[in-house]
Amino acid sequence: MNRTYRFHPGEYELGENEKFYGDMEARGWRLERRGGCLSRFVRTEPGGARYRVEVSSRRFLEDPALAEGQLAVFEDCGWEYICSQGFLHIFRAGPGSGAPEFYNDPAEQAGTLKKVRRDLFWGAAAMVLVLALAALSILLGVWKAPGQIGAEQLKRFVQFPTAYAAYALWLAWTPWQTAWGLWKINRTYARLKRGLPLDHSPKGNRILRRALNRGLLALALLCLLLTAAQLAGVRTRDLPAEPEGPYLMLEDLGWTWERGSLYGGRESAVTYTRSLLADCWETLEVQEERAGGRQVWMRQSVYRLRFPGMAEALARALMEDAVFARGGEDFRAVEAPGLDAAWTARDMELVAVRGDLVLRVEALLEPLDRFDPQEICAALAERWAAF
Amino acid sequence: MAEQGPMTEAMYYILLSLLRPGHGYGMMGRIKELSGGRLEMGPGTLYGVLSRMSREGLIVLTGEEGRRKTYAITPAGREALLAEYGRLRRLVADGAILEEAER
Repeated sequence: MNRTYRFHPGEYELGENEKFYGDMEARGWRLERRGGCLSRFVRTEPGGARYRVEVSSRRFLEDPALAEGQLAVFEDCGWEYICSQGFLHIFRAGPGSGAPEFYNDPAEQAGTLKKVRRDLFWGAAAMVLVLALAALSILLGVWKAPGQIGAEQLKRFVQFPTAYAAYALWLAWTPWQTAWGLWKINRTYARLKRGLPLDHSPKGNRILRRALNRGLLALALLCLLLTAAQLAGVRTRDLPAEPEGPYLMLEDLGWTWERGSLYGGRESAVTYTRSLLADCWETLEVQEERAGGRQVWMRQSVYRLRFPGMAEALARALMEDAVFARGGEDFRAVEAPGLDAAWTARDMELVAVRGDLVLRVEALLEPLDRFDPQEICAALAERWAAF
Repeated sequence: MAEQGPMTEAMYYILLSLLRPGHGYGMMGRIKELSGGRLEMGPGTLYGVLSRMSREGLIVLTGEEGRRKTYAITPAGREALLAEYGRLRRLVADGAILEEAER
């Protein structure tokens, strides 16, 4: 194996990066390229090369590359330019090259860090502002429509829990990394301002922080992989003649017209999604009366939960997030033998629970008052008993 | 040009070295020579100071050979260097009482 990849220290840990790359070369791995999280190394003779990191600051959207003139001076002094990542530029000097240290005056180096520190500070301020605005919009949304945003989020969370977990990890990771970067850069800056040169071989135990960073990253990657696998497994197909899940068919309610399509061409279909928290079926069934041109349709969202304790909360969320009702307050409880509970609203919607199964159904029947919650509950109890 | 305060050692020696136009690496050798080997300027320090003095009009870019840039001192730079030299001479003169006290 001639190449290997390793997680490198954060971009604001200048001395740690220099030591890390020097240690890798001492073990026979020479830096080839640095990426966002990983560095790529190529096999070489173990040796005592020195690595040094230079930083550059640039205005918004400006190229962070080092100026050609600066590169020429560094290379003339015996430093070999290896690679850059963002504002970090990494140089190497072989043993016995006699290349001088980048800075003989720590105050001068503090000047370069000052710009990086300022950029990081404003970046962090912008991030805080964005997060604050996001939080404010959520709070305003909750205030204007209590429960609806939470309901929508709970429904999506049941369907895509790993995507939510990846997002939550990202939300935790970004401020943590920024805060760490600010602390490190301020500490280095203060050291240089005191006239002490950069510590090129800092001591310190990075094991805990490294484990935490790698753990978070591995978890986020796992969540993204699971989400990708889940999305790849989402299947939408024509609604079969016989139900293949715990959902109802219009035939169960006595409708035997021909299959049809809604305005816009939407046909009868079922979408199946399997998440870590639930199996989910979303159906649409449309029937048309061939002679009279009348049409009926029924749409369902059915969840079989892995944790039945979530059933009631999900049922409440489905009521809050109802299509025709204005929210949970529009629903009234109905007698539902064979089910744990059921609620209906506006003669068009019904939410029902039994054990680990939760359903919401919306239907537009002909005539409108043909929507009979008791009949739907009875059909559902029969279907779920057999499922 | 901004009001010039006391110069850093790096600025002083870079201006001294640029009494004869030169490029970065050449300047480093010249500074070592001028300081009798006492000052070995790092490329990061040199480039940072060159950029700043160029912005302040103390030095000027006079040519490029490939990636190497050649700089020369400007009249303003020469004036600032002379002012600093005068200041340092006065400091040394004022410090002469130390020698008398040691006798």
